[in-house]
Amino acid sequence: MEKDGGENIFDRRVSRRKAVSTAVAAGAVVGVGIIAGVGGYLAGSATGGVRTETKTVTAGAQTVTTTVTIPTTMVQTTTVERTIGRREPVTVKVNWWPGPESDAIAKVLDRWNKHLAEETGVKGELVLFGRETHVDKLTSILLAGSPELDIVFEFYLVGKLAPYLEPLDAYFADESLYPYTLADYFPAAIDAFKVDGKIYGVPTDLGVHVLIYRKDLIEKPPATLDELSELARKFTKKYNPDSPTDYGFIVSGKTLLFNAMLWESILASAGGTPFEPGKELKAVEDLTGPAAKRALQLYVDFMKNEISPPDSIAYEYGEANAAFQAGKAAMYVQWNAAIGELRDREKSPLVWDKVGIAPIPGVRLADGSVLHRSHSHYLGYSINKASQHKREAFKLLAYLTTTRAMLDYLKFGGFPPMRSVFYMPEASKLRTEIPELIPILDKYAFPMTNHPEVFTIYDILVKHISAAWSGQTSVDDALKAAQEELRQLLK
Amino acid sequence: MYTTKIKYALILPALATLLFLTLYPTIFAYYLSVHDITVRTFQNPQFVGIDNFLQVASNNQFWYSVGLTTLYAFIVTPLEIVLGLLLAILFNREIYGKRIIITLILAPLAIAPSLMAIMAKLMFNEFVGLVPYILRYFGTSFSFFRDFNSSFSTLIVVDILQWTPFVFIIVYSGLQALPREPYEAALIDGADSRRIFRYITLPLLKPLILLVSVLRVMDAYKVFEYVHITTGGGPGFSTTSATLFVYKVGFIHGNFGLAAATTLFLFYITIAGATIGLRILRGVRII
Repeated sequence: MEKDGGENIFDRRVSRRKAVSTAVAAGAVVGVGIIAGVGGYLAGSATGGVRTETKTVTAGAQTVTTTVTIPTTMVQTTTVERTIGRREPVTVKVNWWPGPESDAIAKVLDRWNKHLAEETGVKGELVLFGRETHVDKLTSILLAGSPELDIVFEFYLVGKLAPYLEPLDAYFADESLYPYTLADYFPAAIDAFKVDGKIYGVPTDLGVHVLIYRKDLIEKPPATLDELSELARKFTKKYNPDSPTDYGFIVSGKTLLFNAMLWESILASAGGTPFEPGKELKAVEDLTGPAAKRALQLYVDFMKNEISPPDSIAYEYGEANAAFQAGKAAMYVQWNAAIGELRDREKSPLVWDKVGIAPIPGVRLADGSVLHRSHSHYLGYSINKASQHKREAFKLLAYLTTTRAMLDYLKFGGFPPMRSVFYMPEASKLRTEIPELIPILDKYAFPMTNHPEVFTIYDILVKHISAAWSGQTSVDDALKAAQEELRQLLK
Repeated sequence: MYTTKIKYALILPALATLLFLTLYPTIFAYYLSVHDITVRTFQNPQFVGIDNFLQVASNNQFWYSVGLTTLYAFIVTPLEIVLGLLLAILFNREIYGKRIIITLILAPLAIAPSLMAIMAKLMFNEFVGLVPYILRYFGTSFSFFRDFNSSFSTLIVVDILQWTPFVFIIVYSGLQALPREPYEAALIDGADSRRIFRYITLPLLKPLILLVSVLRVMDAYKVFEYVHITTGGGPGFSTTSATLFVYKVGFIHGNFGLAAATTLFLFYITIAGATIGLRILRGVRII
């Protein structure tokens, strides 16, 4: 991304001004300029000048100063190309996850097509599949080696689909092609797209777990699992008839792999080993350890003692939110994506101004501090290995890593895991939770595994732990069974 | 001769399309079933012979899901038949507003099963659902997805809500088409309405009831959306139907070879069931 926090070389006004001045100054040597410019551009060599800008931005109590180095290569190239007349832009087919994310990227692409397509020779065209069939269709296209998509939107599957995706390291290393930096992404976000040390994608949206609680009822959110347990009981009507909420905690208990991920944050905060990239086998071996038992027992107790609604064994994202929105529950672990909806006065009239966010409660460590860990995962995009326009696709991809593009993406409904965007004051105005999420992302977030068997891992895990949650099997038996099946899978 | 050739030429495109759309996937399914083929090995699959079939045959969870689905099919089908038959008899007379009521009864048939499952989730939700609200109004409560028993029962209720109208409309059409003569003869002989139903209506409807039973069993055997959307196959593995099992193997675990072998296994089971059903139908001279 560019480091100036928003004003970048793709700005049309800057390009025009620069274009005019450069054209006048280079009028006498236009012939040489054409040859050098076109040659330089095609060869990808960075022969242009460089300007540096420093900018300071403040978000809440935090201030960040960024220094930006802006190569002018593309501006000069644009001038030359305009002089000789442009060819029709190459159309890059951009596939995106349908929903709010695609609504947001559609507007970012509109901006690109309106202002930058002509200059860069690349035009973006959005291709959407149905939400239910997105993964299946995308997988089929990639497996078939079809070039019909250039940029593909995937999530969780980068490890599995890596053989069909273009490694991007060489592109990022080429300064003429990529004069920006990936350093302003939250570290876990980029790590999530690395397979065998190579980068196969760029993150666009983050999902991280937080403890959501009623801040009007709970003055200080629970820091430890013991405090969580105690507070949850206190806010359950069965145990405290004066409780303003019916239930103290909501377990998202449906046999759905995403619910295993939610529990994984409790597991990791209890001191267990989560399924981080490269640590899958250790996670499996530690699954019968005391931390995993404690984390599972906590949820089993919530269910057995009806601190969580009895039907919550079939709850997923929507039902858990609905229970909280109805004012019936005091706390739950959820994806950050829910916060916008919960703090929306129209969508959550009962609780919109009472929603608190805290790190996942954990265990107290020997030094007195508390262990907090949050599972994080990322939606992102890659280049199809079979694409016939990889270089053009990368130009568009590069633009999407800029602060400006991602700030637009945020404005239009996306949620990019980019620190430089998060520190912009307008970002915090748009999403009030951003200042609360920054420390969680910086200090506690761990990336989800991108193992090729990622879905299978979580599917096996949730199958066994949900059996324990419902009381079908004991904590020990459930964890042992999960461990054995996962060992078979990963051996 | 020339006319015959023209006839064949005209149906050839449709025939070729049909063959391509049925034969190719079938052959490809057999190809997948004898290979170790996943997303990562898709371009270089290893031939494994009948290994996938042996894996399926020795998989306890597969047999559990087949058993559960069979149980499900043989619970929902008789209930739907009885309810559909009762409704058909009820409406086989002059009732004020009959057409409007029948249209309303048939409405669930127009809803996609996945949508029906989403509606059921909302309808039975403790906090936003209509049913728990009504139960609370009468001073009682019930958890519809608390454990296996309640979840399985709720799935059956959803199936009945959606598919009883299917049985109703077929049986009702059959009732409307029954000949009047046997009834007139029975009335002359002094038969009461109970005996008329037992000895005339029911035997005349029997072929139709058998046909709709076979159709419903086969359809119930494919139950997927209700389970996938409401319980996800849980708690644990307890409500996983056979088709959900295949879906998880193929699309969650990405093991196409094993999923194809499982599908073929299920196909043989369904064929066996259909054959038995068809023999029964032949026995009553409907086919």
